[in-house]
Amino acid sequence: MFPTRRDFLFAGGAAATAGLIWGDARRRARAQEAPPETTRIRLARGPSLCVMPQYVVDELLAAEGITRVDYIVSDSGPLLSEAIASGQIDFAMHFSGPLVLLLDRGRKVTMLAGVHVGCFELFAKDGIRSVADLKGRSVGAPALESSAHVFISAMAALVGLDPAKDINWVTSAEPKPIELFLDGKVDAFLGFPPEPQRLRAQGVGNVIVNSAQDRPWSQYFCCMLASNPEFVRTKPVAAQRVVRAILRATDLCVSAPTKVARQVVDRGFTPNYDYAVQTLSDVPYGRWRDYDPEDTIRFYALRLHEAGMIKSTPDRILDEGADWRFLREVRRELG
Amino acid sequence: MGGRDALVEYVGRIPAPVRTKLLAAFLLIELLLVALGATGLLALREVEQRGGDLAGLQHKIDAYRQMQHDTLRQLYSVSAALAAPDNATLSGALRQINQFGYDLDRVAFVAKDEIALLGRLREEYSRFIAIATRVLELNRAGQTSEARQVQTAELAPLADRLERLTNQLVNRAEADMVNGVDASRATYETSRIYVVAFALGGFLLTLALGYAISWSIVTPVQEIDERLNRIAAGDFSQNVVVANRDELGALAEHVNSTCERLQELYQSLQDASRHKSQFLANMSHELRTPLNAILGFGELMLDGVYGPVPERMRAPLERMQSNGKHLLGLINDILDLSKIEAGQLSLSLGEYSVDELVRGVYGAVESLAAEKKLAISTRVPPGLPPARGDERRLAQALLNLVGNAIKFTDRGEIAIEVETNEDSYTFSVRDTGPGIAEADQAKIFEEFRQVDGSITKTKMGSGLGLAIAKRIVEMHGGRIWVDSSPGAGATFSFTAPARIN
Repeated sequence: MFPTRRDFLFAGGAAATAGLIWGDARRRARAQEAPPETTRIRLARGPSLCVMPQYVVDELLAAEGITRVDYIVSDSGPLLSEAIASGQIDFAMHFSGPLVLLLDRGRKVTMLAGVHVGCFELFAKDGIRSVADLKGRSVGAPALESSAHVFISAMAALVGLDPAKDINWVTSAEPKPIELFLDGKVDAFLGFPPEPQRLRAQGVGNVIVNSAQDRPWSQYFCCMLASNPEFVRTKPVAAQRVVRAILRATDLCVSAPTKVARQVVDRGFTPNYDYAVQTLSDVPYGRWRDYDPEDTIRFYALRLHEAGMIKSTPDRILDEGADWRFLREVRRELG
Repeated sequence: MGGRDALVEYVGRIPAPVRTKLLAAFLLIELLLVALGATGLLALREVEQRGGDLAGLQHKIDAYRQMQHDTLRQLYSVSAALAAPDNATLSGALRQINQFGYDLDRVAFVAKDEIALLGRLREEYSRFIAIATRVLELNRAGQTSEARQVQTAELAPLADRLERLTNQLVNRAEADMVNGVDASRATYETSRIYVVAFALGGFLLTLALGYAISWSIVTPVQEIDERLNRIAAGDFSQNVVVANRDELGALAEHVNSTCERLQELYQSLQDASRHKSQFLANMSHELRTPLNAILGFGELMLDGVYGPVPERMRAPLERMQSNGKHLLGLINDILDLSKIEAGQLSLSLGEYSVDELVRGVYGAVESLAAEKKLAISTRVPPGLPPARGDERRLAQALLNLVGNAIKFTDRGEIAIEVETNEDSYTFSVRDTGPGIAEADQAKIFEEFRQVDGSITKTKMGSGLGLAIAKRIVEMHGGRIWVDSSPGAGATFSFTAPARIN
C-alpha cells in the first residue's frame, strides 16, 4: 500500500499524542530501569537512504543513556553483514534477504525487529513488463549475494525462474548498476533510495516491482534491525534501548519527515534534501507495529530456499538468528 | 595377520561341531539380512508417512491460498458494487461474502494446529464481513459517499491485515513443507546409511565368518596332511598340533596316537631288519669261508696239483668253478648289502684320482666287453684335481653300472663319462641296450629287483648291484638315476661330491 498524506498525518498525530502521554510515564519508568551496560554503540553508515531512522537516532539514544554513537562506513550488502557478524558494527538496519543468507552461511547475527517496508524498486528497460520477462536478460548488481542480487533472486524464484541460470548477472560495484542501466549496458537493476527518487526525477526507466506497493513484497519488511549476538547477550539493557530508540526514530520519519530529512542532510549522510524528503514519502515507515518480522524472515527464507541460495530451513534461520523479545516489549510500551 | 590368525584360532577353539559352527554363521548372516530388510521397511514406512504429511501441508496451503484469493475477490466485489450500485452487482457481492463461511470452515479443518492464528483470522473475518455488509447496505441505501469512506478507512486496511494473516498461514505451511522435505531427505540419508551399513556389515561378516570357518577347517587338514606325509616318509618324531575342539581336533588326536603306534611298530621292524641283516652278514661271512676253500681246492685240482685231471672230469670241474665263483659273487653282494643295512659298512675316505678310478674300472671290464664284441670307451676331462672319498666303493658302484651295461647290451657300445660340476662329479654309463620302460625305472634300484624276473636266470644277476650302488652313492651324499626308454639304450648316472670331509 502506498502511504497517503492522510497516513502521514494520522501516523504523525498518533505518534505525537502517544509521545505526550507516553513521555512522562517513560521518564518515570526509565528512572527505575537499570542503566545500559554501555554508553557507546557503533551503527552502520551505508549508501542507502532508506535507513534514515538510524541517522537521526542519536538524540533518542542519548535519552536512553547511550551518549556516544559512532557510524562505521559500510556497504549495504555482504560487507555490512560481515561487519555485524564480526562485531565491528553493533547495530544496523539491514535488508532481510542478505541477513537470511548470512545466517545460512553459519555466521551469527541477531535480528531484533522489522523497521520498515518497501524500500527497493526494480527498474527495467521499456518492453520488460514483469519479473518473468527478465529471463535471458542482463541484470546489474554490485556483487553476487549483494542485497540487490538476493532480492531479485527471491523475486525470480517466486515466478519460477532459476536466478542462477535464467538471469545474466552483470556485477559491478563501480560503475554502479544504476550507471550501467542509464548507459543501457544492463536491462534491469534494483534501486535503493535515493536511486529510485533520482530516476523518477530524471524520468528514466519503468518500475516493474515497487516493494512499497506491489504484493507480496509490500506485505513484508525489507529492512530489519540486526545486531551482533554477543552484544545482545552481554548488553541486553542497551540492546533493548537501541531497539526502542530506532523504532521511535522510525516513528519520527512518519511524524516529522522534513525535520528528519533536514537532519540527515545537515549531518552529511546525503547531499540531496529533495531525495531525502521523497524517500521519506515513498517508504512506508509506519508499519512496524502491524507487520510480523518473523513472517518476513520466513517468507524470504522460503524464497531463497526455492532459489537454491540457502540450504537451511526457515525455522532454523529463525531459531538461529531471531530474537523478538525487545520488539514485543517496545510494542507494548509504544502502543 | 595376528588378528586374522586369532579369529581363525578362536573359531577353531569353539567347543562345537563344524556343522553347528556353519549353521550358527549362516544364522547370523540371515539375521543381518532380516535386519537389512526391516530397516528398509521402516524407511519406506517413514517415507510414506512423510509423503502423507506433505500432502496434508499441500492441502493447507491450497486452503490458505483460496482464502487469500477470496479475500481479494471480496474486496473487488465491494469495489465493483460501489462503482456500479445495481441490484445484480450488490447481490453478487453479498453472495461472495457468504462464501467466507465455507473458506473459514475449510481452513479450520486443515489447520487444527494454528488455533491462535485461526482465532485471529476468524475474528478479523467477522469484522470484514460486517464492514463489507455495512458498505453494501450503505450503497444500497444510496449513501455512496459514506460507503466509499468506510471502504477506504476500514475495509481496505482490514483486507490488508487479513491478507497478512493468511500470508502468515501460507508461509508457516510452506516452512513446514520445507521442514518436511528436509526431514524426508534426512530420513532417506539415514536409511541409506543404515542400509549400506547393514549391507556392508553383512558382506564383511560373511567374509570374516567364511574365512574364519574355512581356515579353521583347512588349516588343521593341511597340518594333518603334512603330518601324514612325514609319517609316510618315515618321520614319526613330531605330533600334529591342532587347537580345534571339534571333529578335526579329534582327528588330529587320532593321527597322533596312530603315529605313536606306527613309530613303535616301525622301530620293531627296524630292529628286526637289523637283526636279519646282522644274521645275513654273519651267515655270508660263514658261507664264504668254506666256499673259498671249495674254490681253492677246485682250482688246485684243475691246475693238476693233485695229479692229472681226466679229460672227462675237466668240464664238470670247470662248471663247478664257474658256479662257485658266481655263488661267491652273490654271497659278496649279500654281505655288502647286509653290512650296509646293519650299519656296519663305513666309508674309507681318502684322496683319489677320478681318472685312475675310471681307468681301473675300464681295465676290469675291457675283456668282458671284448668277449661280447662291444666297443667300450671312456671320457674324463683332463687335469682333474684329486678327489676325496671312498675310492674302492665308488669304483664298485661304477663297476656295477658298467657290468650291468655289458650284461644287458648285446651289440653296440658302452661309454663311461665323467662331468665336473661346481663341487661334485657326475659319473655316467651309457649303453645301447634294450632300454628300460619309465614304469620300471624306479624299481630297478630296489633290492632283489630287476625289470624282468627271468633276466636273473638268463643273465646270472643277483638283482643287488644297483641297490648296492645306490646305497654307496647315497652314503657319499650323492644321488643316482637313470635316463632311458625302451629301444633307446640307457644312461645310468650318479653324482659324488668332489670332496668329503
